[in-house]
Amino acid sequence: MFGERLKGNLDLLLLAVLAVAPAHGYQVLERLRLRSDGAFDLPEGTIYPALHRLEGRGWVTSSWVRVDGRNRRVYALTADGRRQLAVQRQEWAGFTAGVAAVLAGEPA
Amino acid sequence: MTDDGEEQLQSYLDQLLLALRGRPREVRRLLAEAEAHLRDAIDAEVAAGADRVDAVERAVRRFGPPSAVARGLPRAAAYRTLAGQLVEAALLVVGLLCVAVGLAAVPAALVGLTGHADLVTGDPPSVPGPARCQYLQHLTAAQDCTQALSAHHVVEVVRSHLVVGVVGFVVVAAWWTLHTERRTRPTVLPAGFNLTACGILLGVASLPALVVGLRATIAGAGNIDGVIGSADLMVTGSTVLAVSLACWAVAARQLTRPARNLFGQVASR
Repeated sequence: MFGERLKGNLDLLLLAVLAVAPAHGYQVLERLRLRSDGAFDLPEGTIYPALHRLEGRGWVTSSWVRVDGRNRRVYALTADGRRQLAVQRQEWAGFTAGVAAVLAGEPA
Repeated sequence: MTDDGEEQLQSYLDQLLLALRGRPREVRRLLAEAEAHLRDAIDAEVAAGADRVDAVERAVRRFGPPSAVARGLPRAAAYRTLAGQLVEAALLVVGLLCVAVGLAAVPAALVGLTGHADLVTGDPPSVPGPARCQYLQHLTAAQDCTQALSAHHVVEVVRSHLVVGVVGFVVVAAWWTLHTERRTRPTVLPAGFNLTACGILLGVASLPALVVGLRATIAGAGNIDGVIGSADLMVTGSTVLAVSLACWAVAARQLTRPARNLFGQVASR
């Protein structure tokens, strides 16, 4: 469900999930699933290239951590990432308000 | 081997490795993350009471097809790699072409010094007689004004060859530096591309010089329009062709290395 729509907004969702606390990929996905009540079903593997992309932009940072006997790359939001999250949140709020207003037949 | 789904998991990771394109470090990292993720997912399913083989199958399916995961990696990296390899190939072609032109200084000088300066270069017929004689006093070995002028121009031609050759060595050195720096990086173009490009382009570049030089020689013309020596064209074309053939030889050796290794292994058994 929502797989295609999710693609364009994946960065925002990943930043929002990491804003709570640093997490490795599997935890990120679990949080996404939990907070969306299972609505997001994108191929799980696609979040890793997305996380690498966010790191390339300087919005997240990562390091290897040994958790439960397994090496995991743990991602954390940077200060730039927090600023970016605020910007994207604002844009999203404006967008959804506009869509909601159109759907309700009222001016935004 | 017991079928606990491990083979399916390993097979999926192999496919993912083959599908991923990018810097080796990035590929290794994504693969390690993928394996940890899949094992977490399998453990979670098994803890919830699922059969391990089914758990592996579901975890792999949820992770997505290798091609879908690979598509997410930044494409810019692939374009950068391609651009880098093309620059590398261009440097090698230009560098080797200039080196070949530089090496042609030796045969050009030999032809010029053995009394055939007019085959190396000359002056257009429009140059007036007195102008031709200004070098006679410096070049006492010359028997007339035309010979003196040709001998003077041979020195210029040889010097030009040498300058181009030095530029070629600098360009080849730049290629070598770039090539060494990029050696451990992933490639987009096939192995042997640089040398094959050199073989083709230098071979093509040698043909006009050889054909024009040969036609002038057959026609009995020492130089073309009084300026370009037929022998100079021939030796330059031949040197460029020789470097082209050397490129083909090294490329063939490089391209057949896997086959030679395979035959070597079979023969040693």
